[in-house]
Amino acid sequence: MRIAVSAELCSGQGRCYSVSPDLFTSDDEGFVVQRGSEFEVPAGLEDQARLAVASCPEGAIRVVDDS
Amino acid sequence: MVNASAGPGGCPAVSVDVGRSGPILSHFEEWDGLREQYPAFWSELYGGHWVITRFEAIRHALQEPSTFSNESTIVSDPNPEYKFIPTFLDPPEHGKYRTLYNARFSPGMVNRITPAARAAANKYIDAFIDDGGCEFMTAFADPFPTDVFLNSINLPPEDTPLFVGWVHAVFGGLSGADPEAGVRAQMEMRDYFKEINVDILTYFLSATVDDKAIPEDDILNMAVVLVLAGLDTTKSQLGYNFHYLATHPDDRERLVKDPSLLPTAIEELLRYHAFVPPARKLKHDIEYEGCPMQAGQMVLMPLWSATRDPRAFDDAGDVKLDREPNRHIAFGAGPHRCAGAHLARRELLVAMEEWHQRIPEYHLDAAQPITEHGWQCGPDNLPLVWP
Repeated sequence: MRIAVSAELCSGQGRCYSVSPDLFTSDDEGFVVQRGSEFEVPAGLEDQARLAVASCPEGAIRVVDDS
Repeated sequence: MVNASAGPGGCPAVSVDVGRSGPILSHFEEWDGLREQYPAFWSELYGGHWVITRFEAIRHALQEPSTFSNESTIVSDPNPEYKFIPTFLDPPEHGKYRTLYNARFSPGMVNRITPAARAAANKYIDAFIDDGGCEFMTAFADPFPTDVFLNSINLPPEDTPLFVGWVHAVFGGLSGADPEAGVRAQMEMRDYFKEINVDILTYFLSATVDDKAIPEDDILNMAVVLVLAGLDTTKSQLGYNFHYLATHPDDRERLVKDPSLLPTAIEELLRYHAFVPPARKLKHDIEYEGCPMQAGQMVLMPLWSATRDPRAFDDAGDVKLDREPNRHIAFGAGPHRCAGAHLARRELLVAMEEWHQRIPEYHLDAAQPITEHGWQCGPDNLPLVWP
């Protein structure tokens, strides 16, 4: 499963690293560290990934590849 | 009163006053009806402005500063003479200032001030716990966030009463009730900041924007905006949260029994009571939500109308303390997303944790009507009693 975090849309709401702390981390400004990147979700964290996608108020996280 | 007539371009014109006072929750409930009737409408109040009501349209507008500008965010005043920084800025200028706030009010900072916040909560509870009741807004909701906030920017918490008074005066001024008092309060705050030599001002004074120091005048404006943004808001949210829990004993007991539910519950109570109504100024003409909006016009977008939209939230009208996911925009969206969101969440969590450990059972003193003011809505009073 691959997900992407939009640098443009991420405003540092912080929901992703709050609800899915095993997958996302905050930087020093409150943005998610993975902002602007696309990455493979580690096995076993797919549910956290889906929760983060659904929890971002900006809609900044999307599933790129759900296989 | 909702009177629909024909507005610009055939769009509905509806007179609804977001600034009125009324029974608590009445604004949110009124707009639940408006939103379902109208995705957008024109209002003749406050000089005339557009209104949009639904989640997707509001979120999109907040994410599009090139169309929906922060040049003014005061619906009644598209050309304000005063300068709220960074509130009245658009990207790219906005980001240069905003980065200072993000770093200063980061999740890391919030963790550092949490112990002091816990102590402050208990200090205020100590003062009234044996009385069997309190007027929650004045006894806790006003001073607790002020205390925590002042501590977080290294201002003396003993000056809490000063700030409480100033914030009241400024918001009274902005709502039109007493503009002169509001202006006076802003000047007194600026004088206070001029005299005092503290961390937050040192932080701003040593910062640069485009490699240049920030003019002192701007710094004073920034300090005032910080105070205005940080205090009245958390106070109102605390008021709504405790009002809900005082009137819903089953949910209150649930939280007392399982405090691990608090973070999710706090998100839901933010969603249900999203009391800020931002406004934006149109930079160019746009057909939006079926209405012909023109450059220079103001657009009001009450966040509560977005966060209670059934198109975005299942059972939007119900409070579900374990609601997950919950992608509410009670803190706004886009570049001006509330910079204090992390601090606000922690204040709410600490307040609710400490209170319910010490006063797990309470209800409204039902003899008195509970009212709310408009604009940045909030409870005017909240008399609580406990055994």
